[in-house]
Amino acid sequence: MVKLLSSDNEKITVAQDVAVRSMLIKNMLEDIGDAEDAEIPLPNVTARVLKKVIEYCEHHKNDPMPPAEEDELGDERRRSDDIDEWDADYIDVEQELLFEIILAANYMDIKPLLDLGCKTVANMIKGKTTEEIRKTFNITCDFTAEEEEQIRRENEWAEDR
Amino acid sequence: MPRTRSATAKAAAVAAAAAAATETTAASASALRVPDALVPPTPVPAPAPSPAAAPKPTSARHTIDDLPADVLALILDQMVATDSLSALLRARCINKHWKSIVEGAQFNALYKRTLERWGVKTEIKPRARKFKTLFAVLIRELQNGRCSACARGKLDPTTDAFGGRCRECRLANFLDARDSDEAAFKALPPRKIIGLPGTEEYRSKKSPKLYKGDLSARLHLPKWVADRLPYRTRRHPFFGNGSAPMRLYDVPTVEIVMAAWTERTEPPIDIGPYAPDWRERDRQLLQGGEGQDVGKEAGGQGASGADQVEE
Repeated sequence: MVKLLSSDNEKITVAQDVAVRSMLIKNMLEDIGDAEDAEIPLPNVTARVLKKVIEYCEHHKNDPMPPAEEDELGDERRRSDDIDEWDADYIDVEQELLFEIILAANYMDIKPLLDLGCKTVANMIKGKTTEEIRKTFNITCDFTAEEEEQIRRENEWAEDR
Repeated sequence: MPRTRSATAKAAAVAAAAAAATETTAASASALRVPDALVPPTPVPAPAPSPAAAPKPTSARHTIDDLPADVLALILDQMVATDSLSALLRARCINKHWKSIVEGAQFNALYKRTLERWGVKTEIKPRARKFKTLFAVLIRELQNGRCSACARGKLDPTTDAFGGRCRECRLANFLDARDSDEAAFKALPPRKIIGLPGTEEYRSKKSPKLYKGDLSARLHLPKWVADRLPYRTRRHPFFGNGSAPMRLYDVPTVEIVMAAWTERTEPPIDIGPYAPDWRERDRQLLQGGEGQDVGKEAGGQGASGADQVEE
């Protein structure tokens, strides 16, 4: 078993085969060797998000590990509509938690979870206009009217009419 | 005892590694600019008894602006995989942060791949190396007339009316719309096809149809269009069962497609055996300017001539 310490000082114990889905934890465990009592601090992840991340790792603990190096496999590998049913239910959360999961997956180096989060956000962006994207994610436009007009003019060829 | 000391030392090493990882993440996040308007009102933290001890908990509300630039780039990369390159480039309009990501070096691999597929040189000249990104090369190619959807090849410079999409992509979208609402499709204006009856031995004079060969050889439509359009089959009267059945296409349907393909409804397309190439005439009319009375050949050419005189 591995003890994880969240940013809000909550200790969570998980099975080692679940914990090593995170490359960060896996590398740390390799570093400390047989230190059974060691707690692994995760200062960027709250207990609420950590539990959610562990839920994902538990479900996918028997999946093959993703390749360490990023390879150039083309667009087929990256299709954002190939989310399986369990993953789709899992990631169907409010936006704030979604971004927290993505940040945690990035920090803990859990590539499949990071991909899942990115695919979900990509699907939320897809087919939306610029204004709709800003509204969906509460993004403030910091362009001046002239700058925005300039970019729109540059992109004019790409706009669907 | 030595075991305990070793374990303690290792635990300390873990804490140090975690802290180092935190610093790395913080460093990448520090490059982010979070607009003041998006930062929720967070309570002012009370002075902690031991401020240096515990790491700062991440309790603030997270928005998309909190994502590191490389994660945002991953999201946009996912978007490109299922949408088109133009969707990525439209994301430049969202705000300055997104613009910097789209134009930055994170997408160099994608831009390089795309440019190489187009046959454009991607080697950055030594004096331009400070830019470190191929975005400028890509956008120059696109603005010079590269289809933003399929990027199969250069656009015809005279087809400016297609809004950055090549004619095939426009036609594919048009036929998608036909599949979803055929009644609306049939209400669209046609471009008449003339010179058709009696020109072929096996063509019915009463209700002439178009053969598959007419679509490619005379109307110069791409080959895939023949598969997308509805057709009826008939056994070839001469070759019989030994050959593939003939495909017969309804003329009104093809006329509507031709109006979309050429983006004009006049003049009619003459595919008679002695008619000149209708595409050449279209080119002349296009050079003469849009929105003219293209039904009158003389008028169209006259306007073209007048423009040349003015120039």
